[in-house]
Amino acid sequence: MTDPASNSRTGSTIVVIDDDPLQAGEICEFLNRLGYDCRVETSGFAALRHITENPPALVLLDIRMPGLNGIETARRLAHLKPRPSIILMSGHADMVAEAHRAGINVHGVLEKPIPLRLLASFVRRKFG
Amino acid sequence: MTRFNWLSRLLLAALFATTLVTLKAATVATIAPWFAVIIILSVVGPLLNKRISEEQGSRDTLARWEKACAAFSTVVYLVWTSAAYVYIPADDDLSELTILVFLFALNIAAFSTLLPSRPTMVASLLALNAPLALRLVLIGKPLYLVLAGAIVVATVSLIRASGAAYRRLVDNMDLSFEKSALAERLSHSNDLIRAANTDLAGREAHLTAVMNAVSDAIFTLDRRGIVVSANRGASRLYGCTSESLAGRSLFADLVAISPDARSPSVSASVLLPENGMDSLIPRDVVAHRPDGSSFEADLTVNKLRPGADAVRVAVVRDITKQKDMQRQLLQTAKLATLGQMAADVAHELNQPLNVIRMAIENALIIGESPEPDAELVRSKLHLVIGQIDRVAEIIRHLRVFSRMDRGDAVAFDAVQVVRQAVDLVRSQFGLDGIVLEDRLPRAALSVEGHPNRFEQVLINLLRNARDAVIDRHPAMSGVRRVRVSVESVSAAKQVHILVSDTGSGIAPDDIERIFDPFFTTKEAGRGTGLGLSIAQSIVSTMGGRISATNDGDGAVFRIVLPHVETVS
Repeated sequence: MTDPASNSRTGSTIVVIDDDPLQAGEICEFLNRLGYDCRVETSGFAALRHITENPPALVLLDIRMPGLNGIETARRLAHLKPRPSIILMSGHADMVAEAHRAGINVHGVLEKPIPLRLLASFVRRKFG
Repeated sequence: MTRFNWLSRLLLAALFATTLVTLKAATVATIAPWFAVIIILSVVGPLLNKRISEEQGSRDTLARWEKACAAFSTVVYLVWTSAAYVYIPADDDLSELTILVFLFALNIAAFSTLLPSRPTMVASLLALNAPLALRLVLIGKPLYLVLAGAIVVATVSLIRASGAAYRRLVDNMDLSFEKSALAERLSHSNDLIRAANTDLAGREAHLTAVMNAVSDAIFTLDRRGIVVSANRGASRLYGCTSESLAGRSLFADLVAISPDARSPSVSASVLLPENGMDSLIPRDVVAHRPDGSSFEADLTVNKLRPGADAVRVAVVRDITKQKDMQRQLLQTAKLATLGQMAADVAHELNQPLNVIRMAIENALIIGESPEPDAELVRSKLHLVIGQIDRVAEIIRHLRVFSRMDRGDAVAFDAVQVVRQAVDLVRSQFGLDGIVLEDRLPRAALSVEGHPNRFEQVLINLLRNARDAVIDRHPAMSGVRRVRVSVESVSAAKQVHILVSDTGSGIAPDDIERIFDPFFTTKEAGRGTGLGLSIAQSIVSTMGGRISATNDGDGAVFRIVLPHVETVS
C-alpha cells in the first residue's frame, strides 16, 4: 500500500470533521491502517482554519455539530481550491435530505453507525 | 219636543176639521194646496230634523244644513202666504177669521217641524206672519188690529222661544260632538295601548324564546345570590324544573368554585362584588345538580345595572366536552413531546452505537493482522464497554421519564430533578452552541408532587429558553446562554427555581397570555402552545406557581414551590 499523498500535518489527504473525537478517532485509525493520511478535526471552524491553505482531497463530515454545523461547513469547503470531495456522515436521514436541499454536492453519504468496510469502498472509489 | 209635536198635530187636525165644517166648498178647494204644503212640511221637517241631529260632523256641516233649510222655508212660505192673501176670498168675518187662524196655525206647524234650525224658524215665521199682520192692519177693523197685534206678539215670543230651544239643541249637539270626539280619541288610545301590549307581549315571548333556546343555564339572582328565575337551559342542565331551581342559593346549592369551596359566604363575596367590578370574568366551577351529580362548568355573573340591589344574571355553561377535549389535547401534547424526545433519543443513542461499531470493526482488523496487538484490542474493548454504559444511562433515564402520572404525589428533591433535566438537555444545548449554566445547591430541597411531571416542566422551560436564544442569535453571534438556578427561601418556606435566558424576552402584550392554552409566539408547526399551560397546571397541582418576567437580556421564568419538611 503506497501513500498516495504527502504526509505532512497541513497537507493530509483526508480530514475527518466530527465533534465526537471518539468517532473521528476510530475512522482515522481505520483509514491510517489502510495507508491513507488522515487527520481529525473536532469543529467546522477549526477545520476550515487548518485546511484553507492546503485543502485535503477528501473530507468526511459529520452533519450535526455544535457551532458550525456540517451543512454550513460543507458550503464553505466548496469555496476552497482545489475543491475537496465531501462524504457526509449522519445518523439522521433528514439531515442528509437537508444537505441536498442546500445544494451541497457530495461524493457520498454514510449513515451512522458506519460500517468501516463501506467507508473503505467510498474512499477507494475516490482515490481509484 | 215630542209633546209639542203631538200638540201641534192635534191642533192641525182640529183646524182641518173646523175648516171643512165652516168654509164653503169653493174656499176649501182654494186652500187645499196649503194643506198639502203643511203635510209636506210636517213630513219633510222631521226627516230634516232627524238628519241634522244625527249629523256627526262639524258645526260647518250643521250650518250648511241650516242655510239650506232657511232658504227653502223662506221661499216656500213667502210664496204660499202671499199667494193666499192675494187669492183667498174673505166674504165675511168668520171666513176671514178662519183663514187667519188657519194661517197662524201654519206657524205652529213650522215651529214644530223646523224647530232645530233657528234661522229657518225665524225666516219661516217672518215669511208667514208679516204678510198676515199686514193684511189685518189693512182691513182696519178694531178686532183685526187686535189680532194683528196678537200675531206680532206671538211671532216675537215664538222667535225668542225658538232661540232658547235652539241654544239647548246646539249645546246638546256640542256635547254630543265632544262626547263622540272624546270617545273616538279614547278608542284610538285603546287601540294604541292594545297594539303596544301586543307588541310587548310579542317581544317578551321573543326574549323568552331566545332565553330558552340558549343551551346555557341563565339565572337571575337577588343580591344574596338566591335564584329568582331560571331559563329552560337551566332546567335541562340541572335536570329539574325551572320552578324547583328558584329559591335555591346559586353558590351554596348549584355551583362550587372548587370542590372544597362550597361555602356561600366566601363564594358570594367573591362572586357578587358590591363595589368596583360589576361583572365576573368566567371562571371554572363545578356545578352540582339537585340529584347529587355534578358537571364541569364555567360561570359568569353580571349585574344588570350598577348598584347594590341590582339583579344579577348568572350564566352557567356546561364545559364538560371542552374539558374532555382539553384533556385529550394535553395527552396529544404529551405524545408530541414524547415524539420529539424520541428523535433526540435516537440521535443520542446513535453516537455511542457508531463508536461501538467502528471500534469493534477496528479490533477485528487488528485481530486479523499477522501480529495482533493485544493491548490495542483490549483498549478497543474498554472503549466499547464505556459506550455501552453511555447507552444504558440514556435508556435508564428514558425509563424514569416514561413513568408518567403514576401514583400519588410524593416528596422529592427538587435539586436532583433540576439536575436531571439539565443533564438531559445539556448535549442538545452544546450542539446549539448554548452555554448552559446551573447554580444548584448541594443540599436537597424537598417539594411535593410528581417528579416526572416536574421534570417535564423544567425541560419545557429549557427548550423554550433554547428556542428564544437561537431566535435572537441565529448566526451563532451574541451570547447564547441559559441559566438555571435553585434557591431556598427559608423565611417563606419556599423553593424557587429560576430559568433565565439571553433571548429577546417576552413582549409586554404577550406576558399576560403566555400561560394560556394554545398561545404561542413560535411559528406554525413549531409549538403547540400547550407547553407553558401544562407547566402551569403541573406547578399549581404541586401547590406552587409559575411566573414570567423580563430581565434585561431576556426572559426569567420563576417557579415557586412550597418547601416540604421531610422526616428522615
